[in-house]
Amino acid sequence: MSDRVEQPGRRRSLFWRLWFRSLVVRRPQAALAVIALFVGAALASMLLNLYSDVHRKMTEEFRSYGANVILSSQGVTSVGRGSIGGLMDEAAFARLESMRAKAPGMTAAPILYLVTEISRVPQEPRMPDFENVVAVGSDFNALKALVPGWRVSAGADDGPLHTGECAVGSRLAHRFRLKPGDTVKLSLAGEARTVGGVTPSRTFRVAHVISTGSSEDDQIFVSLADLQKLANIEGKISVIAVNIPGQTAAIERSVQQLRTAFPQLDVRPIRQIVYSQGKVLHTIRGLLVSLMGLILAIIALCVMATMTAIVLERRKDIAVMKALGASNHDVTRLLVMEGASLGIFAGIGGFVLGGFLAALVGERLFGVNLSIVWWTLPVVWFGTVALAALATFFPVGIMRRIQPATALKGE
Amino acid sequence: MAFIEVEKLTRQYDNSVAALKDVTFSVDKGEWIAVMGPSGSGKSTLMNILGGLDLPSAGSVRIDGEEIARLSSTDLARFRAEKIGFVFQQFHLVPYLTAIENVMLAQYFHSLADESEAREALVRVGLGDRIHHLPSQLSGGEQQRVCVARALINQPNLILADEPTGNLDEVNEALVMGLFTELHREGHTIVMVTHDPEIGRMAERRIELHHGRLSEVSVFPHYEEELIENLLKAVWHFQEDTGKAVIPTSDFPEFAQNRATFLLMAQEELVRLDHDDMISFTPQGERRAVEVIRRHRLSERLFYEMFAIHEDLLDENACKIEHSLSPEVTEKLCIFLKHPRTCPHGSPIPPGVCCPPR
Repeated sequence: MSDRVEQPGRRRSLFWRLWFRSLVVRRPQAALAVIALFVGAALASMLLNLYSDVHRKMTEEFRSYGANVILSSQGVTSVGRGSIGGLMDEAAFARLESMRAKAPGMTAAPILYLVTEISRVPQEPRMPDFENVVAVGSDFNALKALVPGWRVSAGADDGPLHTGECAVGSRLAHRFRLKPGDTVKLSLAGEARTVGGVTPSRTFRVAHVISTGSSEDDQIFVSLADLQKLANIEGKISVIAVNIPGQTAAIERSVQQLRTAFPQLDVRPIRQIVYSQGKVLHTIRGLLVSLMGLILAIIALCVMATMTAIVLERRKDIAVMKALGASNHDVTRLLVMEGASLGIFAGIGGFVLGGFLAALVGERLFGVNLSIVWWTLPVVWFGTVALAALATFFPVGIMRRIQPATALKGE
Repeated sequence: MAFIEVEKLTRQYDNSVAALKDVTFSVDKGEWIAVMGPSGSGKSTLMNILGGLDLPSAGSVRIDGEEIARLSSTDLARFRAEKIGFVFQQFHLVPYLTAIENVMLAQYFHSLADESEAREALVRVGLGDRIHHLPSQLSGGEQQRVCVARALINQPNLILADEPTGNLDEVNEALVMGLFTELHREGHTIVMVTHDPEIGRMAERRIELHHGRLSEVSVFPHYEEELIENLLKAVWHFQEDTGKAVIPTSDFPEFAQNRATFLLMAQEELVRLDHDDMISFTPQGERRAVEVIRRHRLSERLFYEMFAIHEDLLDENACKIEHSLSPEVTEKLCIFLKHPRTCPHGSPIPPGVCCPPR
């Protein structure tokens, strides 16, 4: 018997030579397995990136729908001049502002709604003399933050509305052929038309034309103070519109806190939005996970089929190795390492491609710039290596059952 | 204790055909054994079991004191790595590894791969300038020499060679057999399956398998001449009894039991074998058969006339001396017995040169 002494380092040297040669000689099959793993890693990387960031992106998306919680006075106790619903003290908004510091991401705006008559100054032929419109008095910047989907489609700038300035909805602007710089007159409408025999009215210069895609396109927006002054209801607002980010449960918790903080107010979640937010988030996450599982299963099957083909093709080589004294453990190690090594290369490449795809999908579907989520790198990499190693499970079983005597006979 | 002890070895596949049946033999350390027999006789199965590549269905195989059937698969792998060196007819080199890497592969599974030692082994088999060639770049003889280098690299106790020259031309056959002779001289135990009687004669002993059974055990070369003469006698007797010059081997049980020797006799042009179906004497074989028969029957006559030995014991006693009679002594005996025409049993004694014309 040879008196060579076991030296693991030298064993490894031939092991890697064997590994390399065996992969190189089966380039087409190895390439097929690498491509399958690469595609799998890329899709997994993309989905993981989207999954990890879907909450943020979807929250941004949902925010564009506007407020999901409304604070209003309970009942219709104080119907102001031309106001829609009851009024409440503006001080409530100041209190809410102090609470917002503890709730990051929460946006809110005080709003006063009044039914007004609008007319163009000067009036023009073939145009209506006046029209009843809902005038919205608010902090225009806060409103825009609350509903980021609004587009200020015309205007010198999209800054705040100063005293005497207004923003008009696009449909209203179209009817009165209004553009920035034009002047309109607002007067209280309905029962509140006259105060002491005088109809309060005021002219406003059009600063912006906004497009919202909803009923706001028929409204006119002025500063809260201007509208309060017009109706002579300083310090009063109709509602506070709030957007609370997060899933259903988080929103419900915040609503409960608001109810405790404002017992005199009616705090109502806009259920349609709140619940669909949660449901959509849940569905999207579930979809991403299922899709990822499905893709990984298909990739595993593909790699398994390739590795099985490799093993069947190498039956005789494996039988020779066994005849030379290789144990099942030795040949298993060789095959698992071959599989896993394919995963090492495919994992890195797949991560890079997946990051690129995620950025592309993020931009196209969510309209946001997506940055690569780095914690997904080790997950994708190790995951691909593990998947490739796992995919050798079945071929390893075949390999262990190879009987050298039978295989060498060519059966 | 013998190095290899095979006792009542049976290998049966799927409860039907028995590839080996009750085979018993032993091999001493350092011996060179040739295993012969027709295709399907169980030679390769025997080799596979000796090499731990297959397991017996019944019986026992002990190699160097280890009972093969009792080893776990891991221990069997270790056993193969440490104690066995395989040389296959089809070479079975790993096609994507170079000659030296193929040799190192055996080292690797044994303990560690030592490139310089592997190179020395290849130099020894005359492939010092081909170490980095792939098997596909080597001739059959070169591939087989790589296979021999791979088999001897771990200094195994037992070298199992299955038709090692089956795919080689004469020059490469001589080279490879030279290597085996060297290995044998160094003390390696060699068990070699071969169809070739010439190769078989290089071994110290031959065992022959027929339909999975051991039909001819331990034919030592120095007894081979005796065996050949006995078989020539058997052919002669059959021809004499049946009157047929060409004998169907199916009617001649001695053929199946001594097939390897008959192949050797055919190679030495003593008999003519027609596809293993018909057997007949060549002129040379017939001359030698005449000599043997003459010696045997003259011996019987001698024992009968001079020592009055009973008829039933004549054949047995004649067999003991017939092989040692030289032509000169045979002639003297014939003259002494006055040129007898028949043996005591009445069978004719072929005339010699000393005999007067009949």
